[in-house]
Amino acid sequence: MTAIRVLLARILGLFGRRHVDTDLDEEIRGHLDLLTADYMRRGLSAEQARAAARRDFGAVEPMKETYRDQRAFCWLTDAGQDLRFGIRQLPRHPGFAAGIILTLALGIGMVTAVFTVFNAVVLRPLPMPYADRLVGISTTGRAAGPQFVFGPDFVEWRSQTRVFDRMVAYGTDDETLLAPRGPSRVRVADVTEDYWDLAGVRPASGRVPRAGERNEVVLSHLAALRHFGSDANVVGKAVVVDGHPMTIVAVLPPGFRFSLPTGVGVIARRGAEVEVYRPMILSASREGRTPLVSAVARLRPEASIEQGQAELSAMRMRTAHRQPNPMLDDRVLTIRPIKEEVVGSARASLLLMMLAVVCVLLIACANGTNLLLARSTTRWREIAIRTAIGAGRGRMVRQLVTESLVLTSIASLFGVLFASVIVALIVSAFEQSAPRLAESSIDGHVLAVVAAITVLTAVACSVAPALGVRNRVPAEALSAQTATASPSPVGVWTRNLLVATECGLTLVLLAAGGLMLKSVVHMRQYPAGFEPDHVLTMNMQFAGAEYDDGKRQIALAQAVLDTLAHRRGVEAVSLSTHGNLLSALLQVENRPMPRLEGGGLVMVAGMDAPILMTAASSQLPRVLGLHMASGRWLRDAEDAVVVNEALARREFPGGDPIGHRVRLSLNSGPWMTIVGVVSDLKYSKLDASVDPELFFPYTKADVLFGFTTLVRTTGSPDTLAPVMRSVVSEVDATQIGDDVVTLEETLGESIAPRRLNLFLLATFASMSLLLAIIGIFSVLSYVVAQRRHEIGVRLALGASYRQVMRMIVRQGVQTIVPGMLAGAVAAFALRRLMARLLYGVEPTDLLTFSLVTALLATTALLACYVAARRVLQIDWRSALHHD
Amino acid sequence: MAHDLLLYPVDMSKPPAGVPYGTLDLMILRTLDTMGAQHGYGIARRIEQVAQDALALNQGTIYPALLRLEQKGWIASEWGTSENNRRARFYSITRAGRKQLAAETASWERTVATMTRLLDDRS
Repeated sequence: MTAIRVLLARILGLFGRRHVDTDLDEEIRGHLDLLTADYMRRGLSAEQARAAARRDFGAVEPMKETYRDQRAFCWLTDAGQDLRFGIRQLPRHPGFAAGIILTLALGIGMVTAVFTVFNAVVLRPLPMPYADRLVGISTTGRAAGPQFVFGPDFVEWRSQTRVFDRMVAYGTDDETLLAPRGPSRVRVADVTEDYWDLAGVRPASGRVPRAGERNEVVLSHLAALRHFGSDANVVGKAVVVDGHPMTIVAVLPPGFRFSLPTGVGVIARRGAEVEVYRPMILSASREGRTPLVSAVARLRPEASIEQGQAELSAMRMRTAHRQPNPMLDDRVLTIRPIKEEVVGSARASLLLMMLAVVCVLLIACANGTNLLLARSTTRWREIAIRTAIGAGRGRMVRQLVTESLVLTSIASLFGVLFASVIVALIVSAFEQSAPRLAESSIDGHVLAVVAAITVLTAVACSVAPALGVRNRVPAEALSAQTATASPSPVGVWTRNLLVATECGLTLVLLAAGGLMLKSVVHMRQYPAGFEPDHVLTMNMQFAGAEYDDGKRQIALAQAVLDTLAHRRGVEAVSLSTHGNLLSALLQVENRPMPRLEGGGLVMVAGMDAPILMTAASSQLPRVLGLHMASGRWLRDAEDAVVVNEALARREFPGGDPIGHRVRLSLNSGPWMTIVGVVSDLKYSKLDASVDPELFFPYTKADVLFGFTTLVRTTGSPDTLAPVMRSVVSEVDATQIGDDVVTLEETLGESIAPRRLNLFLLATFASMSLLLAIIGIFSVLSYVVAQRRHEIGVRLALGASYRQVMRMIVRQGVQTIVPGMLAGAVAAFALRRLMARLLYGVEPTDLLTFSLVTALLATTALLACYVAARRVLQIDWRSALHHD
Repeated sequence: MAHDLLLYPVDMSKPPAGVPYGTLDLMILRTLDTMGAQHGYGIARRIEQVAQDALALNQGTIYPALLRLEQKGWIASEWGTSENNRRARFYSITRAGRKQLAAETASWERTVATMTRLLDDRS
């Protein structure tokens, strides 16, 4: 309380200075007058009395300076003193300083690294002007997955809206680009003309396509470098995109990225940046095929999402009255800030990672506190004396905090260096794990957070030693009897509590890491015959007008398969269109069907559990190691299909699908007989249950939107990768096969976020284990040192070294066990949180818990034992003497 | 009472004041406790009297000390008229000040007792 009063008085003292000075002058004059009068009474003359009075009073100006300092903030000078003292102290105790700096650097470094990632993925605003006003509009009605609206709807809304000041429709796709350097696959974004304004970008050279122009494209900076060698003189050149000639009208500045959320629809190239921007021209006509587009809009400054929702819903209702369309009109309109769509589920798991890493920091702080406590007990004599002669508790505490601030700041520097290494590692190894992960960098925000953490850590570490200061009684300091510290019970209890907390937190992290590990291992346990590391996949999408015809597509596919089958190193080759075609319904013979308009496959985004209609070849089981649950697989040219168990359960519960007939297209096409049921196999995503899937011969397809070639290699897949691409060029030089990777890699990427989590948790867990072990070891060593006298007595009275060691170990165990119990309880309590990170493993898995507990217990016991061995170094005779 | 030992340059005709501020504060509080409200000069005179020249005190050093004590709330001040009809500030001890005085006195007595014991032991 007193300190607060003084603080307030000092703050107030910053104001009203002149008044103060005149007041003080008046007091001084009064004082001098009285002194002079006194001297005159004793017989001195006026001048002599004045001189004597001034002498008695002392120098006035220095006193006034001190007075002024007292009135205002002079803690700055004090802090400076503390700082210098703290820095001077460091080289005197290098071991201690190094220990605490290392511990804190690890903790601060890990927190910095995780926060950097969190900042880049979740916190940073999208790199577009007024990003907080950008919303995505969708009528698919699904929470996740691709979000679309219908083209004519978009055109209508854009022309009539009052709530939004910009609306942009877009889509992305992978297409073939023919440039002077040759053909390649590029990611193309189709954008309406307002995109450039929305994204806030101006071309570095050239101009953006004019409204209505179809054959003008814009290239990204990297694309210009990649396809033309330089970004100069590219404007005006001609290229062919997807078989259509185009003119380049602009090149974008370097560093600009396409950052609108893109749906993951067809098989797309992983992690590709948009290189080409093509104008999207939409018509308002509702006849024929209505395209699905993604839509983004910018709200006017005063407008809200609710207003936008109301306006668009009203427009939709009017349209529905004029031109009813039962398939489309029921769809729900949703408007959401696009940041949510981009960030997605990454936020939840990264928040959990932040929580976990804060635990690591806490453990590091606990160790730091222990070290500081140990230091302060060896310095307690100095502290006690300084307190007694007037330094006061407040000043001593300030000093302790300043010293720990010096140490923590140095630790922060190392921590930031350490963090930059970790971030580089994460970005290089886990780029696919989260959106925008590649943009992680240690910027101003991160550094500000680091500074805050530094201060907090310094304060946290000095709490216990500072509390110890108040308990020091000056009298004991002056007594020469106690050579080593006689610790107050508070100190010992604090240290034990810290160690127990460390053990608890470590157990929680170990459990989380262990469960994650089990989950990932479990996901990667492949059934017999499935060897994804020996399966190469290659994506192919048709380019050019001649391949609009289904027959030509099938012919190309056949040629590729046949050619590959005869290459060396190829054990089996097949194709699959997994993921290309989805259907909401399966038309089974002799079953009633809901009435629907139109024919053709219903490819409507927004189905909850779509059926995958996959074209395949007869060799697919050989390539993937598929097992038949019943019946047989397809032959290449028959009107037969095979279903998987998931589909069988859904459409033929309790019965046998074999023999039933189905149609691939609703109300059109031949009836195909189901000839077999194949066992479920996770061969595209590891952490989701298998979708119901129907396989039909690719030769019976009307059209293939693209396909994946799968090759089972006899030897290592690396030698075969270039061969696959060259085979495609052999068959038809205008087509390109792309994305040649092993199935193992694709599967790995499907769980990329989990792998990142596993990496982080495993790092946290091992780091905290290390820190906890160090903590246990240091506390017990300290206990041995501090109980030397008592140990000497015991030894003198006949106890064996072994018995004394056991006593020490027991003391350690008494601290560790409650900590571990608390940790186990905490881990159990957090099971729902942990369940979010896991797949296929229960968060209360007994085996994992037992294993990690055993690990922690063993290592902790080992640490106790090694620390207890210090007892062996005690010579009981000198221990008795020295005390 | 938080502060450092602080000596500032003084008139060379007098030896430097050998009084740590901690003790000065204590003496001021004691004086005010015994004598009631006093102005700066009165306090300084009283301290000199009691110390009987064992202490060389620059009287001006009182004022920063008085300010400090007032900031801490252990004394309070009021403007009044001194004996030679001048405007002067009078200081008096507060209840918090009295508590502090009691605590500090006890602490000093303990220290003195220990020192005495120590010196006796050594002889």
